[in-house]
Amino acid sequence: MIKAASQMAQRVAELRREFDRSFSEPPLGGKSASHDLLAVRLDQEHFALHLSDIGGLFADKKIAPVPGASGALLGIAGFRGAIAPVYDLQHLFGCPAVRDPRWLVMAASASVGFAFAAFDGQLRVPASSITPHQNSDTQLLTSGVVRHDGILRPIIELSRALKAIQT
Amino acid sequence: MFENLTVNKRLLAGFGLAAVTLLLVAGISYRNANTLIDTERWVAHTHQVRIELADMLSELKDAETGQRGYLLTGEESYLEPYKATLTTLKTSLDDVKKLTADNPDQQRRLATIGSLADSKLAELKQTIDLRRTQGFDAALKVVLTNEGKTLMDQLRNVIAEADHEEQALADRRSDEARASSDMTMSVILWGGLIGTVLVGLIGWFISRSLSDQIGSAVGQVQSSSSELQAAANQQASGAKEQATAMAEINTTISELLATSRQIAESAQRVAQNAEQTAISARSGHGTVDQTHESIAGIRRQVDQIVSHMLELGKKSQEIGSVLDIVSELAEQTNILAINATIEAAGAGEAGKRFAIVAEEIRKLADRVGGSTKEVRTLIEDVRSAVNTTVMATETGSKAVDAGTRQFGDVASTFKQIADLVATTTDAGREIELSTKQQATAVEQVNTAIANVTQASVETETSAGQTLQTVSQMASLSKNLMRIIQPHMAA
Repeated sequence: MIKAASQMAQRVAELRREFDRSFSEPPLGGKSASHDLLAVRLDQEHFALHLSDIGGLFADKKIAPVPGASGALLGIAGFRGAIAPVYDLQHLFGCPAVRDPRWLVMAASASVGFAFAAFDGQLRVPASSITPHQNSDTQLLTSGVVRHDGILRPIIELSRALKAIQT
Repeated sequence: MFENLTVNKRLLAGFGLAAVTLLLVAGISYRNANTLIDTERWVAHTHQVRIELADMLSELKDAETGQRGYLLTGEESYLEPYKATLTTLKTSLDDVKKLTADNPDQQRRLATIGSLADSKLAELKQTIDLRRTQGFDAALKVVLTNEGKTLMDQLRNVIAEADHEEQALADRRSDEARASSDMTMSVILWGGLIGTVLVGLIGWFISRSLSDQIGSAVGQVQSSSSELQAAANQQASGAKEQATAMAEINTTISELLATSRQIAESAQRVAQNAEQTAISARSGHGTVDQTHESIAGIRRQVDQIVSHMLELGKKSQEIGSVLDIVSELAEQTNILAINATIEAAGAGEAGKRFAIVAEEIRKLADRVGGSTKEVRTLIEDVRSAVNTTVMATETGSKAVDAGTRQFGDVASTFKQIADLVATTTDAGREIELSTKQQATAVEQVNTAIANVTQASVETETSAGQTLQTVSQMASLSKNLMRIIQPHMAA
């Protein structure tokens, strides 16, 4: 127990040092070779989303089901005073429908929300860690894979998902 | 009536009658003998009186002779008879008076004799005095008066009368004595004859009656002795069988006694073992109680540990709640940072500095999230450890409860065992006492059997002796019958 307490104290000290160091380090503006991704999980499968494709990340949004909704449409939800439809991203990938999804992202290019079960955090990865698909089939919802912390994540193209729900 | 009398009374009656007869004869004979003796005594008495009378006359004669001699010679020596008579005559006269005190006639005569004797002596004295004083002639004159002679003649006559009287008395008494002796002889003779006949008759009568009765009694004795002999035979054989059976019973009882002693010893050992077991059970019960108390103490300690652990769990849960809040805040901060980054990306160049801040905020949120995860992990570990400990403690507590229950059961069982052992001890003691009493009783029975056996042996012996005695009695009765009634003894 004493050992754990000392470790916690060291941890606190390290956090403070990092926080303080972040103010002393120069900004990271020149790092245009890194990509910002959101690490998500669809039915325990690891995926990633381009942060640039997302207009916002929301949690615990109340999705109101609509009558006659079928397929991937889960319902509608309010986003900063606007109402937008919310689709099940897992359903688009053929995974079992998510029940009561906690997370959803708003597409940057359209007022459509995509719900998913789990959110693992934001990733800032170098471009070299992203491997695009060899087959540039626009029917695929993913455009490549990224390896981070030993996990291989397919990168979902939300534009392609939008096209999929429109068809 | 005579048949109703007993033998004793018959014999008494018979011999009594004979004795009466004998007594009668003896009495009469005794009386006659007394009469004879009395008569002889009176005869002797009479002779004595006659002798005294003769002596008196002789003394007077001697006195006269002495007087005459003195008168003739004038010698004093011739007066010695006279002087002697003066002394002895009175004595003789008194003697005769005493001897004839019962005869008034003789007393009268003796009085006369005394008077005449006095006169004679006076006459003699006178003449003597005259001779002494005056001489022979003076004395002669007195003599020639014949006074002296007359007195002497009178004296002779009276003495003769007295003597004759005495003689008549003696003759009469002799006749009486003779008659008495004759009667005595007759009585003895006839009394003896009659008595003999009477005794013979009585004896014959008694003998016959006794022989009849004794014979019948002997006959009954014979038959009874025969029956007794048979009974004695049976008794002897029965006693023998009884003695044999008692010997067998004695052997059996001895074996039973040995077995009883073994059982008593075993019961004693059982009782001792039960006693020791009871002591051990009591000490074990005490140990069980102590252990029960210890287990209860452990239970209480475990309950305290559980409550403390549950308290720890609650606290960790509270910490978890706090961590939830922190995690929620970190997540929201992360979401805000992401959205800020997104907005900053949409703002272009103007949002780059804001994107930097958002990025730092995101990193901070990640670090917070990571730390929260680590803390949560620790908390989870603590909670898991607490749960594990609580579960282990609960398990241990349940085990302790189960152990307590089991121990309670063990304690109650032990107590039951202790009670049962106590009961067993008591029962063992009772069994020991009972077996000891049984052994004692068997010993007493053995002793009694031995006594009975001995009594049986003695009975057998006495039965044999009885048989022998009865046989002798039968033989005696036969002999007696032969003696009493020969014609029936055949």
